[in-house]
Amino acid sequence: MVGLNHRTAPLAVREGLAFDPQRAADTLRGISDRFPGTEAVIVSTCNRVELYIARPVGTHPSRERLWEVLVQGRQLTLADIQEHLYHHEDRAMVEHLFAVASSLDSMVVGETQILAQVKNAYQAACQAGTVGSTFHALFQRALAAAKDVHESTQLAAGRLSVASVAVDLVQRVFDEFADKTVLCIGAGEMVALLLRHMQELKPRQMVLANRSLARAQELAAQVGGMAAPLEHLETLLVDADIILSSTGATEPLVTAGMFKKLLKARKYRPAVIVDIAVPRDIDPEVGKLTNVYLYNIDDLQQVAAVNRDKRTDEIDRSRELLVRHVDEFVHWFAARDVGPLVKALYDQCNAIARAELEQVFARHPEYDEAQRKEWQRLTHRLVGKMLHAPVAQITQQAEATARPMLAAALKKLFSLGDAGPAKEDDGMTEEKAEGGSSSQKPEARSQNAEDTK
Amino acid sequence: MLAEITTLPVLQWVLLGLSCGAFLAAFGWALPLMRGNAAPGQGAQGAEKVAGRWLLVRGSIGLGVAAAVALLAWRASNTRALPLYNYLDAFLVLALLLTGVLIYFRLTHYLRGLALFLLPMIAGVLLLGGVLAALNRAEFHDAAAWTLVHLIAVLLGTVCFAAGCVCGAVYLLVDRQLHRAGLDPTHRWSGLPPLARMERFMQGTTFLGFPLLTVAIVAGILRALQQPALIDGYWRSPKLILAAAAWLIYGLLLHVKLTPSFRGPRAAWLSIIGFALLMAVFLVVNRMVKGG
Repeated sequence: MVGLNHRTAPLAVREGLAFDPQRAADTLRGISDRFPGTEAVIVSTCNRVELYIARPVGTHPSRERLWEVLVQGRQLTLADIQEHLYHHEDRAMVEHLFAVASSLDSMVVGETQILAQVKNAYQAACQAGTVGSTFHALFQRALAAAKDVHESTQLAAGRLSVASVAVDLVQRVFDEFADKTVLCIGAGEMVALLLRHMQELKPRQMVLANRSLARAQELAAQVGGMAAPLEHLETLLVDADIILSSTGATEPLVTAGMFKKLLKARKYRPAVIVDIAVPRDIDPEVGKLTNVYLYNIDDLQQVAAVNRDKRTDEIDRSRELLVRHVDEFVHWFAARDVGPLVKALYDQCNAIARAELEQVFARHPEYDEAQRKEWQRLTHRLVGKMLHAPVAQITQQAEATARPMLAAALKKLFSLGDAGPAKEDDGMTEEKAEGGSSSQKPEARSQNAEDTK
Repeated sequence: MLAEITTLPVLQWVLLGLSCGAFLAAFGWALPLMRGNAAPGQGAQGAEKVAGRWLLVRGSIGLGVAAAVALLAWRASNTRALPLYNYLDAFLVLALLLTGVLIYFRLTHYLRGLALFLLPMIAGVLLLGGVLAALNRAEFHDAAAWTLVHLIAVLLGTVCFAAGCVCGAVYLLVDRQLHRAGLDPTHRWSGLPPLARMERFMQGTTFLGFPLLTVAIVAGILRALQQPALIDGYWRSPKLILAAAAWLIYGLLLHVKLTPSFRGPRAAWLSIIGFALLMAVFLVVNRMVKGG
């Protein structure tokens, strides 16, 4: 694979290479037309552009050709992007893809969006017809590995931004929001960000109270809420279930005494108050009232920091989990080519042995059944002993990534023709990641060797 | 009608202890799982460890159920009557019903996190049954219809209130966590329902249990009225007073919409106190008043 990400390339370069769905589909089909037998998937997100290729050993496209594909039709040239590109092959490519899908390579480790993005990229490539059995197995295994990481570790647990931590806390108190009212005191940037996060909960109503009614109305229009003057604060507090506050007030706007008087009017409904102002808008004593949950900026930042540390702890555990998945895929991939080839080799040699035996028996009709069987056993043993060493080498090869090369060499040396994985257009159903070997498999190989020019 | 069982054979004590111990052990093994730190930083081996731990929890619960069922079946074969007329049998049935509630919780998505908190409750019920058996409580020699109604209503009502009590305890735990958000990340105890959901569940158990408790009290009074010899002092008996106190508490919980100041943590405390009062009724019954 070739690509660049947020670590290796600035935003301007990533923007210049981004693929929209149509461009991605056209590029994939172009690759397929230009390099028959090649599988391709493009993963393009705001933080990375990556082109994954699987092709038969010793064939195109080469790495340089892939670079050209990336810049084709762009304002950027190869010289602009070359220093930002990285390249992985074989096991390293598998490890990279699995890490990407599991969000270990993301800007925010543990974010779950990347999994959907990789899945969408895979599905788009399926629709474009550039996915064969290799990439079906690889991407399905990558998605399964990512799911395993998310389920078995705390990598994705806990929010990392103040606003999302606030949403998390609100969701620990309330489970339904269709009947809830969100009150926003102030109309600054931070509270607007909080409000936008709360908007995802789809509350019944969002009310913005601000000294400047015009500013409140402006923000209310953006989020589909209603504006109210700050003078109506006490009335607004009665109906509010979730209260967000961030004003420039130097004294608390809501005191414990004020809120306590409102508890009865509120029917003692629970209230979650998020006060990110400094100095605080809400008297800390309000948080000690029954059924009131008050959080300030320090509380939210502390939770976010703990979540961040917890995710960091989980990274090593996640990597260990991924190693197992990578090993399983690499061993499966290596083994799937070898089985049919070995069978074809034995079949070929046995066929030669049978043909020679028939000639011998034709010349010696006096041989009885027992003598014929003895000759057959002899040729069978000869074939077995002669092929044992090379077959043992290839099947027990400790370095699994060398097997495809040995398999290709075996195929060439013995002219095994169509033996091995079936071609892509054989109409076979796609194999799953854990699928065993089959007598017919596509010939696609993972990119395995540098092309020589 | 029924033979008086004054002492338990040793093997029955063993079965009771095994059942109680198994449920407690299941809770002990489940605790790290509930806190999400069963195998920190152990990668793939950690995932296997977690799976192994879940197997231990389920196996332990299975063992507890098997021991309780075996004990119940053994005792039922001796008494040849419904397992309601002596305390140990009734508490064994209660423990098994609560295990059914646990399974229901595990299968219900939004209640899943509450399930394992029932384990200490079940162990406690078995322990209380053992205590009452050790205190040599006689069986009830009363086959009257009102007594049967009373006993069944008490049993079913207790199951509802036990579930509500567990929910109340968990509510207070989460409430405490949320008030310490800066120090104790709220996601640590995974799978616990939001407070609003737990509050609705407590109200639901009260909604189911209160009529049953009412039926139990009324049936008990009607049966007492049929036995003039018992009426003297009955209205002042600790059993009736405690039962009435529990009834009032649950009545208050039922009408929390009318008494909203009892929402939230206060409702949780009431559900715990109400259940404690019911357990006290079991301890008091027959201590002061013979035969009922």
